Amino acid sequence: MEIALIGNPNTGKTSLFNNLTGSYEYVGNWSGVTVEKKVGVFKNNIGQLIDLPGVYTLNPLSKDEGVVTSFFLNESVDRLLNILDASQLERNLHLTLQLLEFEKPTLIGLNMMDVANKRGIQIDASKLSNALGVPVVPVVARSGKGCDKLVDVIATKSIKPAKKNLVYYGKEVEEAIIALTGELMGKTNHSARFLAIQYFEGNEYVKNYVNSIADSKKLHAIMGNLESKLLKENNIKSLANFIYIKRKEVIEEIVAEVAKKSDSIIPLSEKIDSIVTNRFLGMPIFLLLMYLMFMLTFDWLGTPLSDALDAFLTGPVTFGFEKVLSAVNASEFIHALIIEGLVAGVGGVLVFVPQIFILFFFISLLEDSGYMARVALVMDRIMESVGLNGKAFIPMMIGFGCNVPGIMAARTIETPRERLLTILLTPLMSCSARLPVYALFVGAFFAGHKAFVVLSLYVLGIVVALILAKIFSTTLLKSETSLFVIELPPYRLPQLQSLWRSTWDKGKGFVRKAGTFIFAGSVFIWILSYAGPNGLKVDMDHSYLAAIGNVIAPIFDPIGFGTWQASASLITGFLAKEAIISTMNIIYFVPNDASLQGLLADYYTPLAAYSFMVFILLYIPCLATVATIYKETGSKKWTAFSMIYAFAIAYVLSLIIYQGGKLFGLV
Amino acid sequence: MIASVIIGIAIFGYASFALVKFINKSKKGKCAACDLKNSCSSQCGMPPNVK
Repeated sequence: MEIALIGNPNTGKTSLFNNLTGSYEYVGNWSGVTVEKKVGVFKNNIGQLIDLPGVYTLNPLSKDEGVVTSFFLNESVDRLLNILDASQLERNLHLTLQLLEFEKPTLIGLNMMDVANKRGIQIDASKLSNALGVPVVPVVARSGKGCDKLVDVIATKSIKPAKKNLVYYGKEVEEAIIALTGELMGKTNHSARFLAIQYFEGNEYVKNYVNSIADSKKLHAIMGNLESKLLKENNIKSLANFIYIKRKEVIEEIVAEVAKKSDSIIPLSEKIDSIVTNRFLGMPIFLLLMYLMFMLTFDWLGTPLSDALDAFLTGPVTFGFEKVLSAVNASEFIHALIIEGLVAGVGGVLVFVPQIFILFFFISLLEDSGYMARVALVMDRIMESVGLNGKAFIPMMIGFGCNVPGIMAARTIETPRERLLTILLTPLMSCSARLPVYALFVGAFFAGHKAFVVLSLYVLGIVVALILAKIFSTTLLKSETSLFVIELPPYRLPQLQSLWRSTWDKGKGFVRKAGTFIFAGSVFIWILSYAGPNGLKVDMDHSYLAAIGNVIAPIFDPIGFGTWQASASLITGFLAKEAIISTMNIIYFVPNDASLQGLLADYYTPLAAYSFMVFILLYIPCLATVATIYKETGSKKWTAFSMIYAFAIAYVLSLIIYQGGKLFGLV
Repeated sequence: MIASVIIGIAIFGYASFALVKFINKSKKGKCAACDLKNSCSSQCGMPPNVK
């Protein structure tokens, strides 16, 4: 006797397998599939147990899930042992209903009853058995409790489903099922009803199978008719969606009958989840947390620390360098190179280290505590409406630290279309290298509303990404969306040590870059600003840097910052976004007490400053990000597209903000 | 004067080296350009046989 063990992922199948069988008979690859099935012999020798990979549905989403469907179609199996997670009954029953439609003798092992009880869920196994029409045996797979009974039932009872057609799919579908089963009659040993429903759901494996045994044109016509009828009469996305809804209705009835939920013992984790992932509260809570994070980064904690560091760098450090330089009798050129180039350029970036670390600390805190997984869930609802799903938000959140690992994380996304879309949109997330620009400008122009202005930029990045996702997914990259399933980790109090580690991991690149690239960039930018066509030590407005900046400056006139200084810093910003700040510190070099923030007021209005920040947020992915996009997509076309569309969007938005703002009388 | 020359050579030498190294590394993209590559749990930090 061959018995197949099947269930959702993480329901304890493998534990049960090990308990039911003494040892593995063999572990072998099947031809054409990557995932292996395990075969074992029951301890009391009643037959073989086949452990299949965990799946949520028989309609496969990815190739490794297809192994289960092809097993059902191509192998003979005598009985099915379906293992259910009692604490996730609703989700698990979707698979069960499909298995029952397969009309093989089925037995259900109800696992994780202990977890369900802890969550206040009481499940009546005999009621569930009555509702489904098959035996249900409660087990604890981890300890082996209940396994003996399970073996007894498998060995002795006749467990053919007592109830047929558990789900009534409505008149139209049932008629189509009859029509389709008529076509398959006598041509297959499998349940024709099962094949018909899976065919309607769009199961590719079943489609290939039935097309090989029956007239594919007739089958296609039946499905086409049904779909057009249903889409016309019901408010549904697809036929598969309709079938899903019908199953869900039956599942809800069953669960209401067999499961009792007492509210008194809801674990804290679920109580928190019911608030933070609430349909209406989820988003405001996320925004509020981000706002608090920025308040800490810019107002309460970060700015005082950065100011202190700034005072230290412009005071004792500069003074120390000057002392050493005059002691060794350094030339005027070297003196200027070090003080006006290196100290200004590298120091200007280092000043923001405290703020970057504070921000990373809080992002790590949110990640470690388990909250970020909830944010993906909250975003799933919004992401779905724009043709992506919550999974795509995870690379984007990683992109808040640095876009490069964000783009790499898009590898976890199943469908090539959604992956490409995520890769294209992740650079719109405001990475930490852009933070110093915001810090500098909000300090100079929006002192009263620092956190709010920075929050608006982060949100703008997300909103633009969502709008573009909608546009791209309905024009350039059309296809169906995949399903998003996320296991929510339990909340936990983060350990200080792991928090520090994860903060340091994120932030150390920023410090290292200051010592390498920013150092080098500062030297060359300073040289370009010191030398000009008329020789060395020219007035900066007649330097090479000004000449380069002036070439493209007119482009930026309509958006409020058509100066050579802004243009030059934007060019260096392509290599690394931090370079914008070091370039500005060198260009607007201010000796002694005067601050760069004060000086900026001569060159920018608050409106132009906001327009500039929006432009910095979006205008181009940095060199490393561009290279990563190229490596990950393998396409020059999409890489060029990622740069061009970003520039176009940035320009249009800055134009709307600057010109629109002027129309409303803002300056 | 000698001190100036030495400091100048040191600064420009290191700056050129750092700039070339940074741009080469950035152009490689992927793990090479990633700040987290040594501790990354998803791709780069893992030994090749585990990936």
